[in-house]
Amino acid sequence: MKNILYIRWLHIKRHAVSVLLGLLLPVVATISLVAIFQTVKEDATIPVAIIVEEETQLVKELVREIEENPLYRTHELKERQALNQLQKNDLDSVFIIKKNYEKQVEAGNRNRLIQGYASDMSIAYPSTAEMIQAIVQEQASRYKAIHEITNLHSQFNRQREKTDEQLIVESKQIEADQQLLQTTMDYAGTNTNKSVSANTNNPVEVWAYLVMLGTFFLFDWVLKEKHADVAVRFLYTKQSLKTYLLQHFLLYTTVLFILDVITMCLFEWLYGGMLSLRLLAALLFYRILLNSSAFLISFVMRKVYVYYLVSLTITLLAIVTSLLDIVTASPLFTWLHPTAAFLQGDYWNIWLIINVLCIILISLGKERDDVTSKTIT
Amino acid sequence: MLQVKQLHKSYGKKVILDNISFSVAPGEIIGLVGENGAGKSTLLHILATILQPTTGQVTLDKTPYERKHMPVLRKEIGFVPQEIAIWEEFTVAENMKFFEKLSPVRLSEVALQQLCEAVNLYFWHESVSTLSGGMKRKLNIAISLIHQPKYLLLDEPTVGIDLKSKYEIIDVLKKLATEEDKTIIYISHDMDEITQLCNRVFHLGTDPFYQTLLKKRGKEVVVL
Repeated sequence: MKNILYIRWLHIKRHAVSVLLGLLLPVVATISLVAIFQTVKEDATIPVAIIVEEETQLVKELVREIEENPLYRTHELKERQALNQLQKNDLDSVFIIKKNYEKQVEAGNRNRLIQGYASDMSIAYPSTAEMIQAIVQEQASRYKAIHEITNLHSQFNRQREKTDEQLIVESKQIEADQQLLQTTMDYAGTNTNKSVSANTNNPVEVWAYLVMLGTFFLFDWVLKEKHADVAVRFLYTKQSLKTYLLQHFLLYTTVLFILDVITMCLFEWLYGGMLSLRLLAALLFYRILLNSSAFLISFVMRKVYVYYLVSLTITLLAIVTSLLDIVTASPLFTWLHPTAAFLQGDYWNIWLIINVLCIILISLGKERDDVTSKTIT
Repeated sequence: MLQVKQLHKSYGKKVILDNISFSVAPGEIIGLVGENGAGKSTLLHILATILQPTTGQVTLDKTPYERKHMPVLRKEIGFVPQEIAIWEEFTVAENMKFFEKLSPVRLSEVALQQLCEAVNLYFWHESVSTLSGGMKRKLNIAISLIHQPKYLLLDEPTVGIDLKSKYEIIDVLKKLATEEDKTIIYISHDMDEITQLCNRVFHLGTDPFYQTLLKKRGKEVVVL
């Protein structure tokens, strides 16, 4: 083991820049891409001020619903301050929830409850106003329904069994169960459904593709050392070239897995809520898949530039196919796509099985006595 | 003792070596000469266990060249390929240490350095990429000696280097044969080298040019 480490160190220190690039690029690029995406996402939200003139339950609910919409960045300000910012175009629009809002809604009145302000530069005012109207409509409809129930009970001279609050809770439950009033507004590609498609919001997903490319570039040593002139010397060493390559493959797999775990800990510290034993187990299988793929491709290739070209093509293909809904929807996707199993917390896919079998076959295969494929005369 | 009996090697219908037999005693230096394509390198590669003969028998100290004996045989053979088979990006020291770690024989750093000095290579910490062709050739030989083989097979080890380096390599090989009793089989197109270095000369091929030249210089040539 000491010898393997020493020998590998001799190689690595001569290619320190490319090795460091292969090791650090996936982590650095992931952190940068996620930071860029978050900045762009924040800049792309619409700044809206909400001014409340009363602190009732219905008003709080209305404000919460607006705030929960990922397309808006809401600010609670004083009226003068908000209008001042609107004039400066720091805000897209301002909405003032008037006094007696709750009473008016409970009374079934939907007019003049909210006052809206917009400037010449307000591009999202109509859609924001429409969204707020929809929420008010929703709240008013609930109270209208309560009035109808009360009227029906009085028509039939019966006592109501449920209070207003109970009826509201029940109506919300029915809405949620039957999705009667569900509306979703998404930017393309940011839907909240669980998906394995490339998602720049998920650092692990971004990292999964970048580390694939990084691993391919780190494994060019197999090709370079297998086809070096020194390969002939391995006939006279205590281990064959094949054993040498396999030992170093195992060393790379161990070291890279440790670095992967450190990377996941870093992501956990930066983004939180992702580290679990299942992720680490899936990570181990993913690391074996990446290393074995890079090792086998590098093992059979003869020219370095062809190897780099194949590596780039495989990575791009993996990214592109993960973006196509028609591909990701296929039941075979998890089984065939190199990152799908890892991102879903699973372990095996077809490539991992094939790769492991190939590595076993190579390690059990007979040593070649004739190391030179060319004819010598 | 190296013994070759009725050795035959062909690639498809093309016969490279036909009915070759000879033996070499310990401490002998044998020169292999002949025109290009005569089969010198093929014969050397068969002796170095890199190629397998089509038919025929080769034994090294009575051990036949069979798959099961290869690990034992290869401990006794040092092969110096025509290509400079060293890590260009390493230093001399790193190259020596690299192959020592993989070698069945353990040598200290001092011993490795002495091995380099024995082949007149004194640039222990120099990067190989900065060495001259002659120095690289010397390192090529030094690495082949790390596992202390009894037999040293060299395929044109002085090709493309300056005269001084050539003479230094010839001196080293002479010393290895006389002082360490190593058997050396040596391919070269340089008849001065062959005349100076070899006890016996084996000729391969049909062109009598080398044979005639060596005979003029008083060297006995065995036609294989």
